[in-house]
Amino acid sequence: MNKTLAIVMAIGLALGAAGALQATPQEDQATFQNYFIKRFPNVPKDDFINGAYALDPVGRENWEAIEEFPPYETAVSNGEKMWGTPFANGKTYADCFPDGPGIAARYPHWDKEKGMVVTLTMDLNKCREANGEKPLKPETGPMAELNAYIALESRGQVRNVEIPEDDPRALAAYEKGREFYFTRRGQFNFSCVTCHGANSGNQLRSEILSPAFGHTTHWPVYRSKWGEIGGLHRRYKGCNEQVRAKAFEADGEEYRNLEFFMTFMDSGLPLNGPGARK
Amino acid sequence: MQIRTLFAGFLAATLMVGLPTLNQAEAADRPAKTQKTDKKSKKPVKPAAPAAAPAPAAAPAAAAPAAAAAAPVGPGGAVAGAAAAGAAGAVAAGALAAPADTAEKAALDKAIADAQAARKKAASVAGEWRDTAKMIKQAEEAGAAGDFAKGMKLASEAQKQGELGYEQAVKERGAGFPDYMKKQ
Repeated sequence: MNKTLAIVMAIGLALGAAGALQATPQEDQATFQNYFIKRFPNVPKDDFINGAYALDPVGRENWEAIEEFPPYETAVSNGEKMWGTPFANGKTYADCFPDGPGIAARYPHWDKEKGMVVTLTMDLNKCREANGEKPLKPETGPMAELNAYIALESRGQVRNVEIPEDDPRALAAYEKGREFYFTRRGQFNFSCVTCHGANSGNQLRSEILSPAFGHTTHWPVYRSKWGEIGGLHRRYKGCNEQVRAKAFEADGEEYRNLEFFMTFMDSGLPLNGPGARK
Repeated sequence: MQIRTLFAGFLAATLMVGLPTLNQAEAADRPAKTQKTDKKSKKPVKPAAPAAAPAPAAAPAAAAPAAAAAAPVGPGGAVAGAAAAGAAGAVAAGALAAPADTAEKAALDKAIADAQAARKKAASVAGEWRDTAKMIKQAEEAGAAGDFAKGMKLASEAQKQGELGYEQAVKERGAGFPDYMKKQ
């Protein structure tokens, strides 16, 4: 009898300890944001949306000069044209998104019906398929251009990602995204936070590593390296490959959950996409 | 004068004895040098066709004595034995090379299969590395071109990557906020 009681108590204590160790998403968010705010005390909170340019005055000057004639302008025009051009059945994106085009702040979100994180590109493709059109590649080309237009129309909106408490699957997706972010991977054995946590603000060759806080606000981005506009998942792929890990599929579960975690960390920041980066 | 004559004589004698010895040594060493050149050119050395190809200089050394022993002994026994030894050497060269080739291919196929299994195991825990599949493909290409050594090296590296990727992913399970972030 005593032995059984001891086992039950031990299990209870172990579970209690595990529960105490597991921080809530809100606690994670506070830890994450406070770290960067304290690490860069001279950077106003909302300025983290500008990445490395919030830290480097010379880089910022160059970037602001570029923004006067933004390289993503053509992409935005093409995206606007796409938004207004009817599908073969005569309907448009506006029929799927009556509140559009400024809808970027709603994504990503947890879809209870599907039991998964849904991204903006997924819903845009869903709209296309519902209207008899072929889905587009999510992270490049016309989809990125359409996203550029939507992002521009969404500028200034504040995104507050919700993790519904009544669906444990949503919390599980968030936790998977968090684990992905902090997992070391690839031949170089780097995690996302290796570069964008303790090393943010440090120089890597000629570049200053941007802080993780604010990473999700300015997508899609025209990268000089790409010579075109591309989405956040394209950047995820690039980062994974840079550390010599095999990249995952854009809009696949891994990157959707990662985006869910990262946007939750950035909650409260205004959107400023599309962006221009090196 | 006498010393000079003596030295000239000694030199001439040395050359007379030494040169033939050097030539023999070089002749014996030639196949090895030829192999090195082949390796440098990275072209796979194809085994000689069993019957048509002439016997390589050094290859059938082990098989030849046995063939010579089996050759008819008679008035022309020595010559017949030598000819038989040469012919047997040619056959043996082909016969030995073909199984060796097959054995190397089989070893490479196994190494590639092992590498593929290790890669898949790493992928099953989202731990596959960027270049592993590429290396396996290169190993297959090297094998198809007959460069089994290169193929083995690539397959072995790919297998190691798969194993390390798996270990890494398992070790990283449950990764979360680093302490330096929590301490702020």
